[in-house]
Amino acid sequence: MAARLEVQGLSKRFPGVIALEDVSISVERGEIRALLGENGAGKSTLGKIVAGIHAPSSGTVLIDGEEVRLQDERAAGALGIGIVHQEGSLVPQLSVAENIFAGRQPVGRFGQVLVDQMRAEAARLIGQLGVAIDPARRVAELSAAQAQIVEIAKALSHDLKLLILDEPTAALTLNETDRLFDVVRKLAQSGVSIIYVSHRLAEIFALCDRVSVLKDGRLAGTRDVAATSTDELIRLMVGRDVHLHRQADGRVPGRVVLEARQVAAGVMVRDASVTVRAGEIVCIAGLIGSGRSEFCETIFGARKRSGGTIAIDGNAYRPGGTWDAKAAGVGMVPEDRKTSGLFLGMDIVNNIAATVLDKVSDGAKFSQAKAEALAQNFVVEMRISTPSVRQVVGNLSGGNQQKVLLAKWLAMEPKLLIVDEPTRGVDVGARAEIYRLLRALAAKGVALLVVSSDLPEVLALADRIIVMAEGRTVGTLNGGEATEESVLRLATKFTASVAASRATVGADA
Amino acid sequence: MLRLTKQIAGALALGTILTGAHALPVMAQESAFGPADAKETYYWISNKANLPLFVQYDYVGMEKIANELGVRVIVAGPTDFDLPGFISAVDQVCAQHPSGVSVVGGWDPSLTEPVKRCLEQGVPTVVDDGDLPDSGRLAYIGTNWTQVGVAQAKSIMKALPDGGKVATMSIINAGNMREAVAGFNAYIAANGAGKIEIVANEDDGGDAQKAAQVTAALLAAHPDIKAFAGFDSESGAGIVTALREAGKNPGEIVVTAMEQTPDFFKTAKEGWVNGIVVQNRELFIYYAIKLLHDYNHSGLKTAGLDAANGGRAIPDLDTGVLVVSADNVDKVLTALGVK
Amino acid sequence: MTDTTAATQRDALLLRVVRKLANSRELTLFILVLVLAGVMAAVYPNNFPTASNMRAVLLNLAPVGILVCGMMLLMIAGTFDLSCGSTLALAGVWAGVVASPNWLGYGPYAGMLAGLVVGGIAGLINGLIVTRIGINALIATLGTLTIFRGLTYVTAGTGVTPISDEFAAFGRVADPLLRIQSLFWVMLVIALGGGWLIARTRFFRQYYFIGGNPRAAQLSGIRVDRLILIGFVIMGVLAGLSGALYAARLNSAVVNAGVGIELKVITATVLGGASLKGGEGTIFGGIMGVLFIALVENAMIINSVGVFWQGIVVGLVLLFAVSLDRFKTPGRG
Repeated sequence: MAARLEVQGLSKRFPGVIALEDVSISVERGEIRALLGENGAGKSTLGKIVAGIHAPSSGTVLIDGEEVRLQDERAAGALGIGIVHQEGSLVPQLSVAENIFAGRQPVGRFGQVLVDQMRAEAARLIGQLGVAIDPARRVAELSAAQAQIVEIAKALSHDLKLLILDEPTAALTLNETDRLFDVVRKLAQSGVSIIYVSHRLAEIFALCDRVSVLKDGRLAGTRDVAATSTDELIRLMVGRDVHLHRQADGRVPGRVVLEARQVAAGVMVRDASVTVRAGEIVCIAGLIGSGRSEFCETIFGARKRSGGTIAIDGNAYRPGGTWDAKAAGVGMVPEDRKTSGLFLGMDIVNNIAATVLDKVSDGAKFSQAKAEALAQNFVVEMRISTPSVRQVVGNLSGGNQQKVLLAKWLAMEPKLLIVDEPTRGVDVGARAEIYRLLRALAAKGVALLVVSSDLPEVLALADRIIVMAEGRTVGTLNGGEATEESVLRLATKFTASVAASRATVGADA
Repeated sequence: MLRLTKQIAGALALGTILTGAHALPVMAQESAFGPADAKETYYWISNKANLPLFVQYDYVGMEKIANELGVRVIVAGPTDFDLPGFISAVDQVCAQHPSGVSVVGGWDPSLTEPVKRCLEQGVPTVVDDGDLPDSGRLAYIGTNWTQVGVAQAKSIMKALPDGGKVATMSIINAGNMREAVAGFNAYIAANGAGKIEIVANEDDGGDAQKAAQVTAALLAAHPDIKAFAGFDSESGAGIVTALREAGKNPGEIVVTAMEQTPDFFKTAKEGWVNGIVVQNRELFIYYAIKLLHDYNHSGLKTAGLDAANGGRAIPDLDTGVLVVSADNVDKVLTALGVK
Repeated sequence: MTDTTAATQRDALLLRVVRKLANSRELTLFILVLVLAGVMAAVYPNNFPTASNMRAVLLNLAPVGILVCGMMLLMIAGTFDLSCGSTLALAGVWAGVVASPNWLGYGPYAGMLAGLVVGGIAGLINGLIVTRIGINALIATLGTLTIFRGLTYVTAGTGVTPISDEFAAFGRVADPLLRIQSLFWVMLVIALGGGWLIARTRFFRQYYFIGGNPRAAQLSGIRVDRLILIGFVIMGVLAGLSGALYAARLNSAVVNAGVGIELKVITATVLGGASLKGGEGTIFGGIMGVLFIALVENAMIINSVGVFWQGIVVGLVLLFAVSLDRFKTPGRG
């Protein structure tokens, strides 16, 4: 029997860029295949070609042994190929049913939408996935995982053969990820082949049967998940050994820089305490919604504090806004660099100058020369790869954007730097660079407070780990002794099976 | 939140002090006249209902007739140039079945339909200051705008015996202005052909600032231009401002204009303007309401039919024009008490 | 073969030139202004390039030019003020009421000051509504657009005419050399001063960050709300100044002054390189935008373009100028 999907010699060139070069893979019926690679490795492009969104420059795609030429997404859908996009395609103001049937609602004689029929059909599709979501609800009211399931239901068709999931867990919590995986497994059992595009190694170990690794548009190798390791996959992705492992570089924590006691702010932060010393990296772990980011925003003055005390260098500190935090020597690298961190339309110089306008001015006059010199220093020091400091930040890669974001805050020479999700959406190579930078900062005596959803990251960076749950700090672990399991056990009452599988299979990072 | 409320309250208080306390000598213009408990209510409806020109003259006639007859006369219509708003004001007023309505018809021919609707509802409706001949209105009371054009043409021809280039300025889409400009053009064509050349008919939108801008551009386009004729109340002020700014001397360029505020007559004395056409505006509403009241009450019949049965027409009334020039401006300034 | 290569090279050069122009709206506009002026001067040597015509063009663009300086600041910060025309009228009428001997009669200087203060208060109210109550600027200033206009009518339903000769002198004094009236010089000072401030100073630099990404600016320690409030006050004061001078020029505070001017101002600002999303633009560009529109309007009257066609031409010219953006260097991943 022919493979469900057979891709032979596929290449794709965009003007000036070779996105895919001579890639051949084959996926069996009911197989869950991971596509792994750094940002820009071509994994999304491959998925999009199979889904009919891009036409290949050369090469062939075979479904069940027959060559297909897909004009567009619709044509692919007719052949039983569905895709769930990374960006998401749902309209939050509309109902679940309307989203599932966007543009193809069942209509009556006068062109009116047959709402009952549409809802019944939507309920049936969602039911196929083994969950229940009221099709009349608005998507805005759903959790991220439910929305993701609606995305999948939207991709389901009468005779679904192949489903492409592009980074489906980016916005999901561990629990939600777990539920999504159940749905995916169920689909695979019913004979649907799955292409799972991701750069999260742990998920691949938890979910997939085989994994194909892409590097610079070429296939670097395909492995059975059961027979490979994190280190091998990283080597395939990066082409060299990268160590994300914990490094005990013998830093000695100094004076207490931040002392937050029983801080409360709104409903998200109820009773949170943390102490950070100079030269120490303290990580806050916890599930999404545990109040980690909100706690940090409160320390930074971006959120109003309703209770508790905070002291910086022993002095009571009550910021009226972020500018007060800045004046006190506190910086914060926000979680989402695109929406709240960077000025994407501006160049590197201006992005870095944003926090230190006083430093790059002569009196009242803004000095382009000083700002440029400052930016130049950071570009060199942080190894930001860019043609010039005048490059618009929106054109940089994710890793380089993240470095600019860090530089923006390093420029003000903070005593305490809060970093929320230091490596979100950053590929493995840049991730190691950022870890190096953070450690170097701590070695220089900066107090670092890091928030991360990525447990391997927490374990690799932290001198101490503070665990938060439901707005409260619920425990402290020593960085050297903690395991993912011990962190998670604190963070949640029930240990998620995802976490269990992460802890057991291959997650040796 | 408390701080926010305080701040807003502070700002509002400051605003109130400025507009309220200091407003004591500042009189907001009345927009209804006559006894508040009058049995009959008449409406006057216009665009830019609080145009200085209207307030200065039309409102005076309105107040006089309201007190004379003991009826209520109310001003309605948008305060800016808003034709849809104007039309809906006519519809809404007539839906209340007032004793009579006078619509300023000169603004736009599209007012024909709402006036028709008023008449269909049995509301006695007349048109003033610009006719709507197809509306079936009971009467037109006001200036014959063709005669306004002719009056300005005569003034210019008198001041320019040797002829020269002339430009006009008006609200180009207002029916009465079109009539005036057509009257002006026709009179020049018939009597000044070969000597006087009309080089442009421009639009100033009833805005002195725009009139000044257009005048300046016309001076550049035609360095030998000899005269400007302005047909809306703001044209004259704009033309004079532009001439002053261009360093012209009074009388160097011939200007004719419509009346604006009493102060504007000074320009005729100073020699900037050769002829200011005065419409006798105070008569418009005075007679419009008087005739409507008469229509409602006189009981006179024609061929045995009374007003309600279509027997009695209201006569049209041409209120005539007065041209203020150097000859009579002193009398006018004295009478109006302008220093 | 060589022919086609040469042609391709020529095309590439042309594309580079077009890109260069598209990347700097100020430069594009500057060249468009020069081209338009050059063509007009060649075709109408006795009409267009005369001192009196140039004086008239510069003088008449001044009220809009002053407003553009404020609007540019707001649009750089990603917001705008639709109520500026009403603020202009309100401030003009208050200037007249305070100055005119027939009303309060406090004299010309008090009148001018009143215009500025009333404008500033109007701006403050806009700013408070936008930053403290958190109403979107479009809706907030759409509301105050009618409120301020209404206040103008309530203050003086018929306007103030005449104000006084002393007050009118503010709008009528001209410099002895070029003989252009004060309105233009005031605009020039504001444009040059404001242009320098916005381009060079640390304080105004912050507005670019706010427009570029308000959330990121907030998290960079920039006092976003306070700066936006200040921006609205500056806009208000400039509208007040423009309104008072406008009244002085005509020696008459007209209640309907500046109706619809806000769209003209926004048009010039966008034409001059501001983005509706914020984060871009310079005062120089805004002034070039105003100058360009004023020249087009002037050219049409000199060309004897029929009045009904003038609006169409202005619209087409604007669309053309803005459509050059399509050639901008592609970017943003």
